[in-house]
Amino acid sequence: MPLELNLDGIVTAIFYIVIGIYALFCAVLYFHWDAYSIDKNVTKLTLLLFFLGSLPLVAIMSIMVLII
Amino acid sequence: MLFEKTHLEPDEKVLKIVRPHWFVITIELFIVFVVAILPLFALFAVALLPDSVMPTLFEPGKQLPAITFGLATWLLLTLMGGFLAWTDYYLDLWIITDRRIMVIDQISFFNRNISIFRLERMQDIEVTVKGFLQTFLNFGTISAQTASHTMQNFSSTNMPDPRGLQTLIQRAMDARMQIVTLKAHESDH
Repeated sequence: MPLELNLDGIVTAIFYIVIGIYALFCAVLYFHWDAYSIDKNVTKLTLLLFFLGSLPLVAIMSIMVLII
Repeated sequence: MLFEKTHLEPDEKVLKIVRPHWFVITIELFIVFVVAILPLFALFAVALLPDSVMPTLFEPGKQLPAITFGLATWLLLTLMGGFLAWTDYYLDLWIITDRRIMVIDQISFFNRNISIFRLERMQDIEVTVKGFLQTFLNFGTISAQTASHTMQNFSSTNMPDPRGLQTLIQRAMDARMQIVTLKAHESDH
């Protein structure tokens, strides 16, 4: 059976790959700042800014996957 | 936190904590910003195409969700790149105490090099400020040699105020040598 590629399938595949990379990155980022930072305030601010910046983008990606 | 893991000796005082010059992170974040807005330039270029070509290439109603998805993905990946650069910058540091220098080199995630050099074993400290930018913004390379049996050298680039750092380390070394010599005399008698 020939493999059919449509926009829906490609976007969904990209979405799952990027979400996987994002989840891994979040864990590694949190680990590094928790273990190696010397300033708790900078750690909090960095993680807060990262999630404030990235979560809306993840939400937009999820909504677009549902629409497509 | 790092200080909880790095056991300072009794009465050991931290003299200074130094990170690479702010210019380094500014340039890196500027590059990330330029990369982040690249798709907007591409969309602008597509929008400038003549109307006769546009309908075949671009149908806003159909492709808008896919374009929005692509933009959000691109921004998420560049945002991660930006935070990776910030992490590498912020966790890369020198901790200068009155007894030793801890050089923590955060190369990338899971690639971290920590070296500890005792002040009484240090020899020459060399400072290199090269070029217009380094001279104007006062940053450069600082390197030193230790008198251990392996004759270790260590060097860090893009350090802010390298001459000030050299003076601080030299003073700390002199003070440490006096204490070590005094303790040696006391133990002899």
